[in-house]
This record gives sequence, C-alpha cells and structure tokens, in this order.
Amino acid sequence: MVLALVTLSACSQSAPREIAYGEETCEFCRMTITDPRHGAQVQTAHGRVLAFDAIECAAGFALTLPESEIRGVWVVDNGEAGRFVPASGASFWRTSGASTPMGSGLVATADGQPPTGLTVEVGPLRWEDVLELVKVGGVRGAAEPEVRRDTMH
Amino acid sequence: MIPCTDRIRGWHIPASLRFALLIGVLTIARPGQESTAQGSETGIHVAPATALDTGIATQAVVEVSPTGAVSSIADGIRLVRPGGRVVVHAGTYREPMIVIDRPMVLEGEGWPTVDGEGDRELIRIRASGVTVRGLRLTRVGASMTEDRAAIRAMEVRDCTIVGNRFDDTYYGVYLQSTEGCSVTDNDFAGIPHASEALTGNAIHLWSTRDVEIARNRISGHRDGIYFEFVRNAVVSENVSEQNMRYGLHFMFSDSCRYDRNIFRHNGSGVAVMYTNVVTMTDNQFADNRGGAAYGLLLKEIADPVLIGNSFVGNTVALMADGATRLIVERNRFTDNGWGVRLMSSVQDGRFTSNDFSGNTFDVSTNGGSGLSAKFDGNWFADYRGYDLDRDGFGDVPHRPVRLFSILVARYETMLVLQRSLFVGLLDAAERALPSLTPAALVDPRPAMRPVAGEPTAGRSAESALRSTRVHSQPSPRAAG
Repeated sequence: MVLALVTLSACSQSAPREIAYGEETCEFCRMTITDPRHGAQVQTAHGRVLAFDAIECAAGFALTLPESEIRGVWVVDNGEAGRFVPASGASFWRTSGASTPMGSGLVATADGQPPTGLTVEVGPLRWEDVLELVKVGGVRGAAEPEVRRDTMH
Repeated sequence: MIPCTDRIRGWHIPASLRFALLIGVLTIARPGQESTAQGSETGIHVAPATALDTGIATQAVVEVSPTGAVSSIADGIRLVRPGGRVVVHAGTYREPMIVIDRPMVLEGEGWPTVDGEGDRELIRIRASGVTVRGLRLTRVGASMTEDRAAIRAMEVRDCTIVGNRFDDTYYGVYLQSTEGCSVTDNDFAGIPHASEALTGNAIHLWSTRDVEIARNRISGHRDGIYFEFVRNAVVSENVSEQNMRYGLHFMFSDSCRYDRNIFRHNGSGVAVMYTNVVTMTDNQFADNRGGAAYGLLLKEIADPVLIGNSFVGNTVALMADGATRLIVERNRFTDNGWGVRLMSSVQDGRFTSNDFSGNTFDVSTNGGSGLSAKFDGNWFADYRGYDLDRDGFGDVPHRPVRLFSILVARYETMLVLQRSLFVGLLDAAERALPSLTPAALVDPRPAMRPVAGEPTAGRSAESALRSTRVHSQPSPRAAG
C-alpha cells in the first residue's frame, strides 16, 4: 500500500528535465535547441516532457492543448543558463541587444528583476501575457519588427 | 575647397544660402559620385562639420598607415570628404569602434588587420553609400548581452562589403534595417573552438530588404547566413559549411531566392521557417548528418519552389512540415537516410521529374491523413516495374513510401530491424497488396531512367569562389 502510494506520487510529480543542447530539436518549430540561455519545457498530462528552443515556441505549443492537458511549463532563468523555473512564477521581458532563438527578444527571470545587461523594451509580463501575444500573431507576430518597435502596452 | 569655403564666408550672405552653396560646391567637386540625391543628402549631413572642423574633411584620398601622418582609421575617415577613399596600408589597427559617417570607400591594401581585442565591435556603418573592402577583421569577442559584429550597418542604404576576411569574430556582418546592400566575396572563419552557445552568425540580417549575398565562404558559426524579416534577398554561389546549426536560416523572410550555393557538413543544411515565397535553385545540400539533421527543413512555409537541387548524404534530405503549394522539380536525392519526409501538414505538394537513388527511405510520412502531395514522372532506382509501350515511363505505378518507414516514423527504435528478413517480407507484401501506405503517395508514371539532369550547383559555386579569391585582394594603387 505504502509502496503504491510512493509510486503514485512519484508518477504525478511534475519536474523539468535536462535538455541536451545542440542535439534536441524544438517540438514546435523543429529548430535545433542550441542556446542554454533560452529554452522552455512543457509537461503534458501523460507525463511527457517536451523541449522548446524559445519561450514563444512553448507558448505556441501550449496553446494547441486544452489547459487540463498541461501539467507544467518551465522556462530558463536568464540569470542562470540551463536552470528551469516555473513559467507561472517567472517574469517575462521583451529585450533588445542580444537576439533570441525565435527573434522575439523574450527572456524570463525567476526573481522578478529585469535581466542584467540586456535592454528591456517591455516588462515585466506574466506567462498569460506571453500566451496572449503568441495567440494573436503566432511566433512570427511575436517577433515582428513593427511590434517590437512599438511598446506592447 | 578651403578657399571656396572662406570666400563664401567672406560674402556675408545669409547662412542658409551659404549652406546651400556649400552643398552645391561639394556635390560638383566630388568625382565619381553617381547618385545626386544621395550626395545632397549626405552633403547636408557633412557640410557643417566641414566648416566647424576648420575645413579638414576635404581630401579625396587619405592614406592611413601605422607609421604615416595619419595612423588611425578613425582619423582617416575624419579627413576624407564625402565620396572619397580611405586607403589603409598593412599593419594592425587597434582603436575604439570605427564609425563611418559619410559615403566613402574604406579600402585595405596588403591586408591590414583591424583588431577588436575581444571586447568591441569593429566598424559601424552609419551613412549610405559606403564600401568596405580588403580588410582583415579579427577578435570580436562573444558577448552574452549584445550581438557584437565585425561590421554592422545600421539604418542605411547601398552599403557594399566586399572581399574582406573575418576570423575570430562573434558576428561577422550584421545588416540592421538596411536597403540595397551587398555582402560579396568575403571569408568568414568564426571563433576557433567556441562553444555552441557563444557562437554568432557569420552574416546576420534583420529587418532588411533588397540584399545580395554572393560568393562568400563561411564556416565555424552558429548559422552561416541568418535572415530575420528580410525581403527580396538573393543568395548565390556561397559555400557555407561546418556551421553548428544551419548553413542558411530563413526566419519570417518573404520573397527571397537562393541558388547555386553549397551547404555541407552543417549541423543542418538550410532551414526555411515561417516564410512565404522562397525559390531554391541548383543548390547542393550535402553531408548534413546527425540525430535530427536535415539537408533542408521547410517549416510553416507557403509557395516554396525547389528546382535542380542536389541532396547527397544527409540524414534527412528534405523535411517538410507545414508547407503549402510546395513545388519540387528535377532535384536529385542520393544516398540519404530519408529522401523526402512529408508531414501530414503538407498541402498541395508537387513532385515532378526528381531522381531518387541510394536512400534508405525515398519518401516517408508520419502517416497522417491530411497530407496532399502528387508525384509524377520521378525516377526511383528501386522501381521494379516495366515499360512495355517504351514511352520512358513505367506501366505500373510506384509507391515510394515503404511500410517500414511508416513504422519507423512511429517507433524510431524499430530502425534496428532495417536489414532483417522480416522487414524485407513486410515491404514485399505491402508492395503487392498496399494496405497501410498512403494511397495518395504514389507515382502513377515513374520514369525508367534518371530525369533530373546533371547537377550544376556545386561546380559553379566552387569555381566562382576560386576565381573571386584572386580579385578579392585589392590591386595596388598609386598614392594620392
């Protein structure tokens, strides 16, 4: 009985995994995931953890599923390459200067502070704002120079 | 020029008129300036500086050398008049980022080196009508917070970057909001032994239109050539190899064309993503190998046209996912793992007169029902039919999708059974009584012999490179 409970709780646990940068491809855009300063993961209700090269790709994928089928979303903390933090608690920033894998300039931070060294155009945003941004214009719309030049608000 | 300026001053005419006259004089006196519109525009920009700087920016040609009267490139630019030429002689130049603020030619003789010492951009072009040629640009260090480039052109028109050598540079050429620029006959070597994360793109274009990228030799970067929001670009006769991610990468870039390029030994060959109307002709996609390596990846793309390309020795030669009105004609798919992989998101694909030989799987799909693709008159080395009416086409339709390839698409680990007797039987049975392979994926008129024609891509790109290497060294010129 105890064993069964332990097994069950282990199964239902949701946690990010390691991404093999340079080898895995993004589940949404099929690009090779190369930059550990960026990246995201989505765990489905079946327990599969899928990897993405950029925040907007994870958002694009999440939008294809009903909310009940998503167990967790994680994004890389821009302050610490390769470290994944829950998207729900992260702050999102549209930045310029260093390009991001899908061109939107979106990066996330775990501590609510703006990313160091980058120029912040807009932020902080919440995960819901990112979803809305991608919902409206897709990943292409999220990176449009016109959109980026205007502020989002 | 100096006396002219003084005389104008001495007349005590209104400042605005004086200014206009000055521009007139500058424009007339400038030799070899073709575009008057551009000339007057930049004249306005430069003329006040001429007067203020006690009229020093008047020389048609300025010679820069480490031991000469003018020993920094920045000083050379300050002294040259718009439309003039700064000739940089051999030596190593270490100076703060060089800003080119007037239309001019910056030209190296004897391969002078501009050295960024690992911590800055080297040259920033901020005026239209600038040419940079014959320089060796080196040591642009990687940065986590900015995309540092050896040469960045920002918000300008008609820049020409020709015949330069880039090595140990994070980004090579970065065109940002430009129009009518060209990047030709350059060599890009990248940062030696850089990690994937800290490697930039050799040629990076953002929000740019009307560009020519030709005859460059590129290696050792993240992407060889990267496009984001680019319109009307022509990319031809480049060799892009051993880049970590893609040889050429289009993102959100419509109405572009690339032809006669070679993309080989890259992480993946070329990716064309979220883009409309791209024409790809006579390119070679070779030896792009790895777990998920493509010769060419088409992702969310409308109206792509592929004609006369060669795909040789790639893990997946052509992967199409989300492609609408895809035209594939006279291409050669030779010795690849997968020749063509079509996801069910492909709409209205047309495969005509292509050659398939030596591929483990010629055509495969993920088995979805949404796929629509027509095959007609292609040559499959695996075709087992006959041609009784001798019209050059087989009398029995050919199904290029092996049953096994569908199984592998669903269960990758089944690949270990590839050479087994069981799989051989399975494929033979499916060929006799097709049941699982998609009915749509059939060539009703398979060619009896190769029809795509000879490849032209590789040879012309290689030979173009060879001949331009000779010209890329500027010829010696008389001083003054």
